[in-house]
Amino acid sequence: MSADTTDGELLARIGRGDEEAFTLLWRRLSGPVLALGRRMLGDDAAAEDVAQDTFATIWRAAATFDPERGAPLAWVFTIARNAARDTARRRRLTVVGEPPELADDADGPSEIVAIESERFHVHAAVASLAPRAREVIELAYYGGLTQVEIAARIDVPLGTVKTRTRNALALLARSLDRVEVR
Amino acid sequence: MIEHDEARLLLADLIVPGLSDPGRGAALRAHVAVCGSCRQDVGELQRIDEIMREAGPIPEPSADLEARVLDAVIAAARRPAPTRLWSNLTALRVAAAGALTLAATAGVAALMDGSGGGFRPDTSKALAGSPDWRGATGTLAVGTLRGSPAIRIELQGVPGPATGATYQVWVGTREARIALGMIEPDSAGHAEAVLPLPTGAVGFPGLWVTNEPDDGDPAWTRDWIVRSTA
Ligand SMILES: [Zn+2]
Repeated sequence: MSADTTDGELLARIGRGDEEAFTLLWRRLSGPVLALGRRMLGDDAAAEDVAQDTFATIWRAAATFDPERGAPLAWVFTIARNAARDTARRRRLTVVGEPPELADDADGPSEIVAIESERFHVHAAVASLAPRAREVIELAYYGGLTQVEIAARIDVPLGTVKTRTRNALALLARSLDRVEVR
Repeated sequence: MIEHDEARLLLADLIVPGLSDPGRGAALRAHVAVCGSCRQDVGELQRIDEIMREAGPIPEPSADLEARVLDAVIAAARRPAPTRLWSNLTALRVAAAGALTLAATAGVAALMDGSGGGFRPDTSKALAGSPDWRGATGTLAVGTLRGSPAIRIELQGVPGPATGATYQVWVGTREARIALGMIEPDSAGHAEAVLPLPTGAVGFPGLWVTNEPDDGDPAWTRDWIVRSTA
């Protein structure tokens, strides 16, 4: 098992009780699930509950995952969204975009779900990038650094940084093709 | 002018400031203006750029959270053997307090297996409805899901849970039982869930679906909806 192992293969192994596969999936998707929890609930502690519940459910229910009925990430997204709603109920929080009073809004619930699904898929794609590619993307988007600044920071020629950035963005663009909303 | 084969590798230059080499931007834009395929790719890159800005950074889970999740799951994987499971209520309470072993959701089970897809029943029997839940009936099938022990529960005539409450599926004995997950009826009062059986729960003597207030108390209430007892 390695960084190349697909999410679907990991879920199949987890369904057979493989702890190593579970740890690998956790390393890959805990960040994107935490980010989703934070966006939906606006609360860091609640987001931790979401991540904990999501992965507990993944562990318990992975054997029921059927690749013919949907993509692995869509399945995890659905679990995480349900976990966020359960956490919201428990903590008496409002789920951003979910309450019925927003239904008339231009960005109604289903549209918000679609947007969150897209964000989750892109985050998962970032988390699955090779470390060197992920590094330049995170420094550019979250660190706010220019290409020149990134080159100086990680001590790599500017041309190399640019190539990594271009390749990484092309890979991320492909992740959009995999977005499924249920 | 830049040819398509070269241009398509440089499209991110139109999105990320500072990525384009000096003097290349104009030639690249000229190509994209006449190339539908590149225009479409630029559109996708634009969307990624927006999402990256809107979605915010990816948090790193704290060491504490990671330990909590991985330890709890590994502990759940090494559950005690069946005989001990049913006789050791304390251990079950500990497991219940962790909530991790209990967290299967009807949403998931119903989503993936709402039509029982993949579930193979071996035996099936009717569930008895509680006098307090007039009209509630159900069927329990015991079998396998892709080779692993599982049950399928179907409910009829059960209204959806009140706000803040959930319907929980339990197996075991009256004295010692574990929660397998939740089940949620649709507006027609019908519910179906396929739930995997932990190794220790195979051959369970009884099954209950109860109405549980979402009060954080892992113990069960006496408010059962349907049941099957030996
Ligand atoms: Zn082109």
